[in-house]
Amino acid sequence: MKIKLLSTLLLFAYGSTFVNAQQATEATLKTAFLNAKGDSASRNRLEELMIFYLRDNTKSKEESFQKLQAIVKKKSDPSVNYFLLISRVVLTHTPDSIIATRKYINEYLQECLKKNDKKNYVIGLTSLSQSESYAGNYDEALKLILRSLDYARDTLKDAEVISNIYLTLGIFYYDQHDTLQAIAYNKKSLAIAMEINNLDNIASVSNNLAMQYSDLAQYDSAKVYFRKSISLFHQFDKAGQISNPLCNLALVFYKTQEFDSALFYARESIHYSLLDNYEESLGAGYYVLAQTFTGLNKQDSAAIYYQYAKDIYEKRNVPAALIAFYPDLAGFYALQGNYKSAYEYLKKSTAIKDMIFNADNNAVIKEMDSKYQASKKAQEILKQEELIKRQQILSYSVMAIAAFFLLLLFFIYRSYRLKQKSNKLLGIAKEKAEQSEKFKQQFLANMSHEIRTPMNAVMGMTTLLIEKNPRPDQFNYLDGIRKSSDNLLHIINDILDLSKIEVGKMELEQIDFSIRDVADQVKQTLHHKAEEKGLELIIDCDSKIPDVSIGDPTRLNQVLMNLTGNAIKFTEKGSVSIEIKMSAIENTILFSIIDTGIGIPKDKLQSVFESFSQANASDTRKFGGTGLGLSISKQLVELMGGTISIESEEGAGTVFSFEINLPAGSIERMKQQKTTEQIDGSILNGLRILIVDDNEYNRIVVHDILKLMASVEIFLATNGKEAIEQAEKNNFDVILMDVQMPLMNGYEATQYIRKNIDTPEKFTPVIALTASVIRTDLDKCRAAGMNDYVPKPFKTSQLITSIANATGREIKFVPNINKQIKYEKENHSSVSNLSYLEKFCNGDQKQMQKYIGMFTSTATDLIEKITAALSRNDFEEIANLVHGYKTKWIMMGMNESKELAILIERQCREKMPEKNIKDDVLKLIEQIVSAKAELT
Amino acid sequence: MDFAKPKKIFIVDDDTMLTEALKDYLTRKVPHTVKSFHTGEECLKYLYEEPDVIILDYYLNTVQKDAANGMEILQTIKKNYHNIHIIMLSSQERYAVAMQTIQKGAEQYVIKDENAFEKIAQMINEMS
Repeated sequence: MKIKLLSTLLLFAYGSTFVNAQQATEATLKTAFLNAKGDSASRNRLEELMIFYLRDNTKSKEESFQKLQAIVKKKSDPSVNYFLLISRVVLTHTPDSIIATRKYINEYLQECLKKNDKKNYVIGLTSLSQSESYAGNYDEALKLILRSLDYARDTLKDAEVISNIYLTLGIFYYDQHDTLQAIAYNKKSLAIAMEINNLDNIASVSNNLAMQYSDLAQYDSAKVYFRKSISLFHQFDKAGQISNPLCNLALVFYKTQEFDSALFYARESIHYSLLDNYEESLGAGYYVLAQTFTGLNKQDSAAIYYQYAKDIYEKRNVPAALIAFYPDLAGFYALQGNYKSAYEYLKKSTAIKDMIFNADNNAVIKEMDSKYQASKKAQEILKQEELIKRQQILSYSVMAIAAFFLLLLFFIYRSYRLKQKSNKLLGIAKEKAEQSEKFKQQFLANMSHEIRTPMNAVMGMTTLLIEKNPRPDQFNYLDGIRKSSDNLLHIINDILDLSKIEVGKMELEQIDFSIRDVADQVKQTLHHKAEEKGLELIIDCDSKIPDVSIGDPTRLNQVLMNLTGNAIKFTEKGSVSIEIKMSAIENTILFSIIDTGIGIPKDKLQSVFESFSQANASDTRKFGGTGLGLSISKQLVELMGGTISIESEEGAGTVFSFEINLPAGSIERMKQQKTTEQIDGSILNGLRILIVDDNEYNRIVVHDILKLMASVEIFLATNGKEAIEQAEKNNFDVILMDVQMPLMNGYEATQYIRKNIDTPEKFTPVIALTASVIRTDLDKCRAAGMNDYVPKPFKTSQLITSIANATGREIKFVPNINKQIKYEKENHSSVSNLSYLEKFCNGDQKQMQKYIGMFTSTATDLIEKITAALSRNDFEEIANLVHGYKTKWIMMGMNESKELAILIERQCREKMPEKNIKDDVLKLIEQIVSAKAELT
Repeated sequence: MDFAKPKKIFIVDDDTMLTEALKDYLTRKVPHTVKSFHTGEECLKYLYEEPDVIILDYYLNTVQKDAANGMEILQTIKKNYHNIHIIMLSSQERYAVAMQTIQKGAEQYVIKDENAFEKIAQMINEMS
């Protein structure tokens, strides 16, 4: 009750200010027109003013036109005079007005030709086209506008005029309901307006484009353009116009069910409408707000705003707006159970529709009606007497039957209402549940994206730094970063995996692989951890296990890693072993992970496989982990068609075992599926690559990794717009495209390239670099015309393979050398380290031997010369001698010697050798001697 | 593509390991013609071949004491063959020295470190 009372009061207050509001809007628009500078601004403002009069039902159209004429006269600008004539066509809409307009403009065109005033000639043509269009002569209008376009392009060459013509063409096609054409022309207009920085046109065109995209239900694009026009209108500081796109944007958000944003923009719009007394968008704003509250199931609030909206709509009394509004209002009343009002408004809406559609036929209908009435009257008089007699007999029986049916109807209606009510409640509950599941999915997708993007930079740059031959201490830190980020990624993937399994989106591979290799990998990864705790990690693989099996090695590895990692975590002494045996069932293999750890209490055995559960809450603190590992393992095993079980004795240990069906595979096939770890980057040599990413660090990572692996030419862009600009100018072999970027995202940019830049001869492959791993996003990549995607964070080999595939390069592998560089540990005793040399020679043993030979063959000579110089105290000679060795230190990986040599050379050259310089020189000699021994 | 165009390159350094390694590195990806010299004087004798690029060490007299240093050689080359690109190479990690060689006509100045080869290769690729 309170709410209703309040709303009535508010309405009353609003109603009393309504007339003032109209006047204020008129004044605002008038001032805007008089202050407008330049052709397009003046014309746009005048058009707004005209539309205002067109919708103002309080004055006659002729009166409105007089007013408009008076305002235009105040501003002595000849270019708007044509528009005034168009206004006359629009406002008064008589055949006379178009004839007068034609005559006036044609006279003026002649005059322009005489004076050779090209610009006004084109503007005149455009205006004439608009008049014809308003008068309904569309063919003529199109002919004229195309003529003015040709003239503007070929002779006048004025960008602003051309932009205006495209804008007019856009409006023309929109009026013809050809939205796609309208969009195409608006985009042309927008491109030119942006080039010459004509903000007024950018804002107007953006708004038009947004409306058209919205009509096509392409809401994402609509949002982009609405935002653009809003931000520009903000710059102009013209609040009266900003409320319109704000309100439309709110409507788009309402349609995409993003109610929070819809509420936000609707309120913004109302705020600006009130500020400028712009009641047209005020009504629309209230309407969107009401719809949104209905969507949010807040019917009390919705009711208030429907009231506000209804009041304004009815006072403005614009038929087209009412036709759209009334059915919705009726729907709302129906939802509230107020069927009487619902019916009333539906009737009103139909009445208005009839009024409009029949307006033209009214005269004919009236005539027919009067004739019909006349003939009917004559017949009726004859019939009436007979009728009265009959009616008396019938009336009693009819009344009895009617009463019975009414009673029956009442009961049917009651039971129907009861059923409907309970159905509605169920529906709401179901919808809510579905929505919360949708939110969860969206949240996971977002989080995954937000975390993966910076992770890509962290992991990529760490890899790059490790490639730059860090000092051993630096290497240790870098290795720490690498391992920690691997862990972090692992956790993120766990969470994502779980959600994927839950919604049934996890897909398994069926490829040839070696079970032994998978087990070895697990051992390799985990044996450090086991060693640290003094545990033995044993793999016991039955000889009957086939060398090659068919299944998903990645997921098997994941399960084994989870279970074995867990076992190590919960075992303090003894061993952890992985037993792999053939099961009694054919083609089925039994994996057991056996530890001698703390065990699991009997009452907790059942719950260990549940998500987020560890046997004790305190375990999380002590042992870490997400508590998802076992749950994922169980679900993965089940997905692979197997079962997992657990046996445990507290204090003695635990055995996890699972059986899965892994039929034997073929060695030949497996060889073809060779691991891509040692891929040869130089296959990409000579490519021209464009990297598009808004994240600076990710750009650096991709750039440096590609530069490191191959001689390629790289170009950079920070968003889709820049990418398009570059693609128009350059001929790229491939484009690496981030997806989520400001200004223009990767999908839009790719679509644009496919549509406007690609030709039958030239097709630029686009590879998405996306942090999203959600299927729908990847589908979107394909739909936009992208060739492939590489998930972030990516491995170097993934990136290279994808680029090679897209550009038709044949994939090659670096021959038989383990590219994994072995780094020295701190307690390493050798002086030299061949990892740099190995990398430098790309593993070519012959070349490596050449350099090693060059070092060892001169080492003895060097030692002798240094010793001699030292005995003579000839420090300059020592400096010269060690100086010439700089490359050799680097090539032989003698980092310590390199530092020492620099120190010695500096002290010698400064001619103030410190006391211990002799010690340093002797130390260097010692190092050369041991390096020689190591290398020979 | 223009950046992969093979060029004629001279390397002048008295460190044999360096000349050899740099030669290997540069010719690995692009079939450049590379000649190496251990003194500047020797290199001057072959200038008529008009190399595109000369990679010149700053200290050239550590082995042969009477050899001219890189700065002198640089000036001689630039006087006679204005168009040859010169990349100075040195372990002299001082800014002033770098500035001096650039003023005298060297195009680039590279410090001998782990990334020197990569930098040189890139510079050569970027030369027209």
